[in-house]
Amino acid sequence: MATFVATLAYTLWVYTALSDRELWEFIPKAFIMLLSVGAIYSVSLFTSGTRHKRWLFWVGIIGLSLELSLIALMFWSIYTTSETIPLTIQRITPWFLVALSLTLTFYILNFKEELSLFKNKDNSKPSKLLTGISNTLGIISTIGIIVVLNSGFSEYSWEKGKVARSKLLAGNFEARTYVNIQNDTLRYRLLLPKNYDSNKKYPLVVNLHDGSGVGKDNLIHLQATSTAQLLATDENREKYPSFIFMPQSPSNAGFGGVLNEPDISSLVFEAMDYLEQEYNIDDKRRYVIGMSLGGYGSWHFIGVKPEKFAAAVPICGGGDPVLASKMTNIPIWAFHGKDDKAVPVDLTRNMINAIREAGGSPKYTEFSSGHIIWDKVKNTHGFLDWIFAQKRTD
Amino acid sequence: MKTDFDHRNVYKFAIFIIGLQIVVSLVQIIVESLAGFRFYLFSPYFEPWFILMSVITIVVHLILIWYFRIKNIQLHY
Repeated sequence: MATFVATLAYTLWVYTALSDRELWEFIPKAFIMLLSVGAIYSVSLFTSGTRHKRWLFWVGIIGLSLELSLIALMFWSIYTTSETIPLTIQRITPWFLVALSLTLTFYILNFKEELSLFKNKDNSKPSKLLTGISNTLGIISTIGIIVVLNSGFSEYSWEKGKVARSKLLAGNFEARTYVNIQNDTLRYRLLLPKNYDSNKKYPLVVNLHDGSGVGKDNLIHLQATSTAQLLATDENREKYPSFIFMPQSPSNAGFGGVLNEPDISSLVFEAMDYLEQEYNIDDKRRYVIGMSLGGYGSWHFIGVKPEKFAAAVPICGGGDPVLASKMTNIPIWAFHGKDDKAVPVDLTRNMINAIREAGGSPKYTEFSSGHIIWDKVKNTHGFLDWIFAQKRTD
Repeated sequence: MKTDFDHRNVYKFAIFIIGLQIVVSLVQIIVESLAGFRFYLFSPYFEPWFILMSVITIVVHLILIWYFRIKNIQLHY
């Protein structure tokens, strides 16, 4: 009964946590609690009355050893300072879970063994109710397994195709590196305005990638920065000549704005200053656009360096309302999907409300969709015209 | 009053549902290994799959609770 309650509680909690990023970090600890309850149950299987049933005895012994191993791995993963150990543990954990799932076969063997001991074996009349439930669950599960496996393989192909897609998108984006005096390194891509003329000033558009672009290869963020790809089309390079700047965040740090996550925002600002020494960039027309992880970054950038930007477009990100008062003078056009499971829509709504209460007048467009809203954003009438019309007056 | 006959049907159902739980769990582990968190956050199939897994898990637990009750197995040493 305790494992039943614990499993239900864990399931409901994980479901809630998936839509609340602040709870993500507690998932491993909740998993440890579930495993602990499972371990107590396993002990009871080989120490209480069930110890006389050989299959239940062994499911207890094997289950306990697997649960204790997983608990040890989870603790190791949480408290280690190494960067590689959690990744290794992440790779081997599924094998322990497979073994734990397979221990259920011992229950089947136990039921089979007891079934063979029943009398009147030949007079069995199947229960219509249980047969109906079995058939229904069997059909639904078969469909579910096919659909879900297909979805998993699609995601896997998408993940594996990141490098190839990025190479196709690289085009004229130059791979560059900025290293500061503390030896901190920022990898970024830069696309100059078409027919760049050093006597003319051009806007700088900072494009912050989503979570699928993190890394140190200075490549895969190309496929994770749809905003930059839109600006890099021939038509838009003619219409909106600008520097397209695409920093890449490493996997252990974002662009800022995500709770308890280190960020590289200062390094990006330094790189922007460096670029302004090298090129003729209009310091009244620096824009920041970002989606998802980059949406968080966009809010963060204008929260900590409001004087640096002429406009911001945070797309399905989230910000800290405490910083809202610093954003009142910056033109903002935020976008979010109201059914977003990855980044709850309230994170943007709260920012918009906080800025309005502080005296600002940000634009906000909310779509009836989930997290993937880029196609809707880019087709929003006047989207790019609005960005490039913004200019600081101070 | 339950008879051996009733129990036999439930035992057969238990074997089926536990087998189903094993298959579904293995599929879940495969999908999580392939797609990672993207499956939870972006797949439109996650919620119905999650409900299906939860229903199967609940049924398995109820069957085991029933089994331990009819066998009068309690925590005694």
